[in-house]
Amino acid sequence: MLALAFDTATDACTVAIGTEDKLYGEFTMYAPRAHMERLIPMVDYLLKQSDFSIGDIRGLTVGLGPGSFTGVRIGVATAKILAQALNLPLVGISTLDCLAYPFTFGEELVCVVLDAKRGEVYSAIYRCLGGKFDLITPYQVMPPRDLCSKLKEYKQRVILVGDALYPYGDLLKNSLGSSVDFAPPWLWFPKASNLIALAMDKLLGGEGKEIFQVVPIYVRLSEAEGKVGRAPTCRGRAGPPNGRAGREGKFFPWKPLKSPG
Amino acid sequence: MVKRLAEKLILAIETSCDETAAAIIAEGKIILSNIVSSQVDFHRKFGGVVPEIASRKHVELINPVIAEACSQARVALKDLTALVVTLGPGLMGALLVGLAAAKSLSYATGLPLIGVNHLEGHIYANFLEHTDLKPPFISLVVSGGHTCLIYMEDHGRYELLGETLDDAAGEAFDKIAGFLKLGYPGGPIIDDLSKQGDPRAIKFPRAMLKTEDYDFSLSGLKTAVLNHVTRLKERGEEIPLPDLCASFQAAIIDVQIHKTLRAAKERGVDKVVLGGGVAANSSLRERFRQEMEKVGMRLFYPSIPLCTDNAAMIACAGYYRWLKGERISLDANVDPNLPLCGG
Ligand SMILES: [Zn+2]
Repeated sequence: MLALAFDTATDACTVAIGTEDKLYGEFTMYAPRAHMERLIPMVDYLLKQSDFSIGDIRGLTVGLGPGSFTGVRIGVATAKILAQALNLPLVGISTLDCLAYPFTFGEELVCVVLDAKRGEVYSAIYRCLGGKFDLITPYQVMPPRDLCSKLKEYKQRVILVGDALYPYGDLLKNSLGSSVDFAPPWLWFPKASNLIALAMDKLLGGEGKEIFQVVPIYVRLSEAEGKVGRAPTCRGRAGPPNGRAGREGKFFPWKPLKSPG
Repeated sequence: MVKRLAEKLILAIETSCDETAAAIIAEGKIILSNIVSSQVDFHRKFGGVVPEIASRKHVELINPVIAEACSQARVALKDLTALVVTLGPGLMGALLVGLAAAKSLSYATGLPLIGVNHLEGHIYANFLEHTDLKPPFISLVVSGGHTCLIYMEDHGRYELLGETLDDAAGEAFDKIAGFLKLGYPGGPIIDDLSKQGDPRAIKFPRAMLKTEDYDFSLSGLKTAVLNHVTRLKERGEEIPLPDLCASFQAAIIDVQIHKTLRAAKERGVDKVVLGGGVAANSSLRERFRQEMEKVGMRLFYPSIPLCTDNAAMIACAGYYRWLKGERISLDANVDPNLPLCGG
C-alpha cells in the first residue's frame, strides 16, 4: 500500500512516501514557523521526483504531536482534508512515538523529549525489546528538572532523543550523568518514514476510516481552559497570568498505541 | 449529486475567528449552501473568543462543515470551479487551519485557489443579496474585531479611510455586557435591552465626533459607562439597564453615522454599504436608514445571517477575484493583519 506521511509538530517539516516494504522517498527540512509555506510544496516535490501523483496514494498517516499547537494543526488539517477529498484512510501517530521508533531494535529505555517552550518539555518513556516498544508513561508535559527525577527512578540506562536536548541537554546530562545517553542530533527531529512504519499495519488492517475523529495530541490544555474554575471576569479586568497549576505534568487521557508489529 | 456543469461553482472556507464556515455559491451570487458552525458556546464561559480554543475547534469542525456544505448544495468536489479562502485579517492560529484545509483541497482536486480579505468578505455579503449594487460606495464594516470605514471604488479597489484606534464596536458591546453581567456575546443582548430604553436618557461622550479624520475610539465611552454604573451602585440606585444600553448604543451609532456621511459626501458617492456582525444591530440599521433617507443616499446592508461571519460572503468576494484571474500558490501564507489594499 502506497502511503503518504508527514509531521509538522516540531521545527522540522518532514514528508515521506513508501509502502510496507519500501521507502520511496523522504524529505525533511529544518523549517521553523514555515510549515504552512513548505508542507504541500514538499509533498508535491517528493511525489513528482518519485514519479507518483497524489492519485496513486492509498493511505495517509500524520504526526499528531504533541508539539507546536499551530504546527500540529497545519499537518493534521492538511491530512484530514486530503483524506476526505481523496477518500483515503488516515492514521494518526504520536510525534513522540515517531521519534522513538528507530530505537525499538535495542533493549533499552528510550525517553523522547520535545521542547514544549515556557520552560517545559513534552516527554514519553518507552521500553524497547527487539523491534517492539511499550509506552510506559503517558504523553506528558513537565519542567525538565521533574523529568530528571522521574528518569532517576528507573535506575537503568536511558537513551534520550528529541529537540529539547538543544535547550536542556546540559541540564539533563549534569543531573543524570552516565545513566543517560544522547541519541545523535540528526535523530532529534521526527522523520516521516517512521510514521509509515508505525501506521502501516493499521492501514493494511483497514483502520483509519474515521477521519473526522483524528485530532491533535495537545497534552496541554489551552491556557484559558487552565483557568476554568475561577469566576469569569470582565475582560477589562486582568486576572492573574497563566493559571497553569502544579509542577507535576498534566496528563491527557490519550490511549497510547501498542507496539508495532 | 446533481451535475451543474454549466454553472460557476465556488466553494469557500472561512475560519478567521470563532466560526468554522464553508459555503458553495453559483454564478457569484446564488447561495447553494452556507454552513456556519458557531463556537460561541465554547467561548461564552470566558466572556470572549479564546484564540487557542477557536483553533482547536476549527481542526475538529472543518471536515464535517465542508462535507455538509457539499451535501446541502448537492455538489461533488469534482463539479466545483474554484476554491476560496480567507487569508486575513483574523486570529493567526484560526486562519492557518482554514488555509491548510483550502490548500489541501486545492492540491487534492487540482482546483484553482483564491485568497480574500475577511473585511472585503463583509462588504461582499451585500453583493449576494443586492444584485443592483455597484461600486463606488462608502462601506462601514463593524464587527467584534473591526470598525472600518472603507471607500470601495471598484471590485478589488479599496481605500481604508479610517478605523478604530482601540476597541472594535463588537468588542465594546462584549465588554460592557460582561461588566453588567448580561452574558456573551454582548451585541444581541444590548440590542434587545435597548429596545425598551431611551437613547437620550444618559449623555455619554461621542468620541472623535469633531475630528477631521475617519477614525473611531471607544475606550473613552467604555470608561464613561463603567463610571456611570459605579456611581449608581455607590449611591445604591438601581441601574436602568434599558436606558443605559440604549444610550451607550446611541453614542456609538451617532459617531458612525456622522463619519460615514461625511466620507460619502467627500468622495461624492450616494451609496452607503454596511457589513459585519454589528450591522445586524436593529437600532444601527434603523438609525442609518433614517439618516440616509434624510440626505437622499441609498443604504445597503445584508440580511442578518450574512452580517455575521460566514463563507458565502468569502465565496462572493473570491468570485470577483477569480473573474480577474487572481490565484494564490500552494506556498501562500496567512496574514493576521492583512491590509485591505487594492490595485
Ligand atoms: Zn467578521
